Amino acid sequence: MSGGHKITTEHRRDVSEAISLKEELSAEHLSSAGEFVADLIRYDEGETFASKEVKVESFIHAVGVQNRNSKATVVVYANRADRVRHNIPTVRYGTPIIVVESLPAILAIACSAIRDQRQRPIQLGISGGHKNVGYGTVGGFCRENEDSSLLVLSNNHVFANLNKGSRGDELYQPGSGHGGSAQDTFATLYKYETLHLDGITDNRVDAALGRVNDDIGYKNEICSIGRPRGIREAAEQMDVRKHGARTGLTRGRIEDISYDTVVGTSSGVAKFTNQIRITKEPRKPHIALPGDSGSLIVTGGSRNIRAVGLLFACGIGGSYAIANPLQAVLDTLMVELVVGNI
Amino acid sequence: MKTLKDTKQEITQRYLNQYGIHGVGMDSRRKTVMIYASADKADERKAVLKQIEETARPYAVRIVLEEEPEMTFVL
Repeated sequence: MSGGHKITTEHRRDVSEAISLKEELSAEHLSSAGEFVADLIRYDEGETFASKEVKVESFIHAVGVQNRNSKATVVVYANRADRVRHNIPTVRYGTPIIVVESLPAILAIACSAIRDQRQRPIQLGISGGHKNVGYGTVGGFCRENEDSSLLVLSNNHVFANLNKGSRGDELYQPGSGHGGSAQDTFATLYKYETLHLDGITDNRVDAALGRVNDDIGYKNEICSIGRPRGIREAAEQMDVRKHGARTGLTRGRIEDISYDTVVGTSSGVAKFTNQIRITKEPRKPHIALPGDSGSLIVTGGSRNIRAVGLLFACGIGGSYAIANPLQAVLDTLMVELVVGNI
Repeated sequence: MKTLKDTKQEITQRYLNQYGIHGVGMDSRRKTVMIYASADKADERKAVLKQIEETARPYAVRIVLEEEPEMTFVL
C-alpha cells in the first residue's frame, strides 16, 4: 500500500465489520429514501416554498464507510443531520457511526425544466398535441376498464384539432410547436367529444383521448406535482394547482363551480355551462396561458393529490382559467382516471 | 323560492353572449349572481342592468369587468 501504511489484520476486521454494519443501516433507512427525494425535487422546484401542504421530511439518503482516525467508520448521510442524529447510535457492535449532512444526488433533470421537450417515459403536464396543432398539454392517463389499453387525456382542441381530427391521427410529444414530428408520435387519437361551435348549444366538456402506443414508456406523475391518487369534486374556495406545457406549475383558487361562458375559437363560438372558474394567486402574473390546455387541475398535498378538473381556457392575459369538472369528462368519455401506479 | 342556481341559469339563457357578457356564475356564500363582461358595450349593458337585477331578485348581482376567455392552445 502506498504511503507506508501497514494494513493490519485488526484493521481488516474493522473494515469488514463496518461494511456489515453499513449494509444493516442501509436496509433499515434507505428503503423509503426515493419518495423523500421526489418530495425534495418538488421542493427545489419551488412548489412548496409557499405551501404548507408538503413538508420535506428529514431522511437518510446514503450510507458509506470511511477510514477516520485509523478506524473504519460508518458514515450516514442525511439532508438534516440534526433531525436524524437521535435515531442513529454513535457506536454499534464497536464500530463508530457518524452522521453527515448533505443533499442527495439527483440524477434526473427536473421534468418541468424540459416540459417543452421530448420526454420518455411520458409524464403528465408536458407538451403534446395532435399533429396539426402547435401544442397543448398531456393531461392524464385513463382506461375504459381494467383490461383496456392505456389512454391519454387532453382537450378536443389539443388532441382532436377542434373536431377536425380522425381516429388514428398521430399525437406528438412534444407538440409540433415545440419541434415534435412523426418520430415523436406517442399515441393516436382514439375518441373525442364533439364540440358545438354555434354559440347556442351547451358544451359540458372539451375532451379527447389518445391511445398510447405499445412501445412508449409512461409514468403516472404530473410534473412537479406527483402522482394523482383520486378525484375530488370542485368546491368554491378550494386551493388548486396545475402543471402545464406553457406556464409550468401555477396555483390558484376556485371561485365558481357553476360558471357559464362563451369561448371564441377559430371555427366558431363554444358555449360551456357549469364549469370551474379558477383565479390566479395574488401578485402572480397568470394561472394559465395558451399551451396549458389539457392540464389536470388538482388539489391536496403531495401524498393525496386529487384531480378536480381539465383546464381548457383562460382569460386573455391569464388572470383566470376555466376547467371542465373532471367527473363530467370521465363520464362523457366513459373512462376512469388511472390513479397510483400504472 | 327559486334557487340561486336556477337564477343563474335564467340569466345565462337571457343574457350570455350579449351586451359584452361572456360569463355568468354564482357566489353561493354571498348569494350573488356573478356577471363577467368585457369593458366594451358598457352603454348597452347599462340599459339592461335593471332587467338583470329584476331577474336575479332576491339575489344580488355583481358585474366584473375583465377580458374574455380564449382556448389555451397554440396553433
